[in-house]
Amino acid sequence: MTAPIAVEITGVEKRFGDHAVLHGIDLAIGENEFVSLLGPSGCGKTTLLRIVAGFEHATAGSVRIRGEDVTGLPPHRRPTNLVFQRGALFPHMSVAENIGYSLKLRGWPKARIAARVDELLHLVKLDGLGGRGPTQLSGGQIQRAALARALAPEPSVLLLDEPLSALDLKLRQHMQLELRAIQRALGATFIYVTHDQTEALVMSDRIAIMNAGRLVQVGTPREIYTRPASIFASDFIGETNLVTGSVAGVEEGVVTLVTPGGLRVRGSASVPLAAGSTATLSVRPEAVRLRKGDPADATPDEIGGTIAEVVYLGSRVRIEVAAPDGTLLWADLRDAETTGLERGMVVLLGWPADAAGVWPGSEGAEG
Amino acid sequence: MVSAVRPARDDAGSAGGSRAGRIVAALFVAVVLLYLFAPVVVTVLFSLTTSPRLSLPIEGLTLDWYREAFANPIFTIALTNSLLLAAITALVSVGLGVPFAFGLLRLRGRTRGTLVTASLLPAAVPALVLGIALAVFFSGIGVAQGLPNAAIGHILVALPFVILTLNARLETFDLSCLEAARDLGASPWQTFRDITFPLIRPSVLGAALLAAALSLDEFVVTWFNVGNQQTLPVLIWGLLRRGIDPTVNALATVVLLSLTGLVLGAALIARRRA
Repeated sequence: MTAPIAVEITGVEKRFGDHAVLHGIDLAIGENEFVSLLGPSGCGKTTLLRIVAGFEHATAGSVRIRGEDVTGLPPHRRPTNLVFQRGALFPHMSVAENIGYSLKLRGWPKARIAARVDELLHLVKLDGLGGRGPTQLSGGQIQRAALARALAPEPSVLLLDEPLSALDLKLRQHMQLELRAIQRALGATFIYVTHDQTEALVMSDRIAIMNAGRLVQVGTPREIYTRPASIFASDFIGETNLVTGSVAGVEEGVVTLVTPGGLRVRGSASVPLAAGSTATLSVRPEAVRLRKGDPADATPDEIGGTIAEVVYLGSRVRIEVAAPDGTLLWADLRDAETTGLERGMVVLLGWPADAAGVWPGSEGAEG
Repeated sequence: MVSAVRPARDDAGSAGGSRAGRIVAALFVAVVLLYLFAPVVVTVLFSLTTSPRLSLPIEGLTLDWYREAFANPIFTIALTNSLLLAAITALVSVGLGVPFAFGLLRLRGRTRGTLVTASLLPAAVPALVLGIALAVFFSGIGVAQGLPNAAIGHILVALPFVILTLNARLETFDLSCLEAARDLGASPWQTFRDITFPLIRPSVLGAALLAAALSLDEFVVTWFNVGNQQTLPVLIWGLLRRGIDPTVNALATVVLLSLTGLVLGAALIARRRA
């Protein structure tokens, strides 16, 4: 990153009694960057966000915003604003009063507040709705108003805690693009917490994947999708086939794994692997190729199997193939490629070794 | 209520049996309602009739009993004391109940449940026991009977109900609103002034009116602790000992109207919020 650093999280730990929820988090976020904290529920992403906002205090470590150490500051003295999961609009105030509240606290004159509120209402496409009460708004409008309210005092960093999770899919997808457009237009720094990997892929400049209180991988959506750093990351982002077995051999970075049932699969080693150790291979369904043919004709890169299921997904068709040892593998093909493929048919499937990653261990493994 | 009974009767048997059933049900409801409201109606009615004795038919209507009651200097003292006690009870029980209910809100699980139950349990203690216990306690520590003792008793009676009311309201209170205010730059005091207080004001007012109503007609605990001071219920009890006097009806009606006003006020405030 060439941009100056907006938020610098250094060695942040959080314990509730004996229970550690965050272990030594280091993360630097650049100015104008949209970073998503992505992970399953309970991974500590919301706690980390609340530590940046000042609602939780780190047991160890520090948070700096634009170079200033804010670790000990209460929320109202921090240049951050938070968009809450369900909006948290003040129910006794109109939308305009909600948006103008922070400016009123700063002692702005009424006319200036009104002008700024109108500008923000326009930004979030709520023109003319300033006089409404929060109960007269739809779910999407509530989140727009909450966004406008959080943007009003021009925070150095805007924090968003799963603000779209309560909305239905169509509206959510629409709001994702709109949020992204607003962030670009303002040139603001956004930290966005979500458990929805699609959301993170759509909106983020960078994604920080968290699991069990640790950062698993930080990178652009493309880096994370194409080169996941762990089995967890590959399984959490997008869909993948996981095959666990023992390492039979490594040759020029290409690992051969043998499953307990005797199936041999090949992939590229992400880290050095010892022969005989347990490892897991991950390959995306869209990287798996499939052709009709007898197992006897298989090249070393292919395995034979029987089509167990054909699922029509619209733009593509997912073929589930059962290998002789019982391992199930998915292959995603374009509709035109699937002519003549039926359940029970014997096929050969394979993938280029560099399209599959292999990591030590059996975490998250499935049959 | 009659219409609620009807479908069951229709299912039960023939049309004739159903009509008889309906009449029985209507009569039953009428008897229960009569039983519930007759004492109140009699009291109010005979506070307005010219005859000093409870007799029918009514000869004429008058406000003399009210004039007589209000002219009695003891009545003014009793009314002042009762209003004073009601106001103190409302203020103190709300002053204690609001922070308590907010404290409960931040607790989770079993601790919270235990504390809620513990704070409501005193409401189940009979007033007689409470009154005697307080009287014994005050005499034990050498404090003479009087209005302050009665006030402490009234707060004791009202506080569980105040906590119950506020707790029910605060369960639906969105704490993230308070965090949002802090996040937008409000200090803890500004958050209370701008967000917390405006949001809980109706519930607090409703709880205060309830406390005042409970205090206004409290007799048992008062009687054991108030000494030779007067409150409206104590005065009425004293007057009754000298025989039924229509001024008693007038006083009772005054208490009834004040209470109805307070309870209706509390209900209206609660409804407006909802």
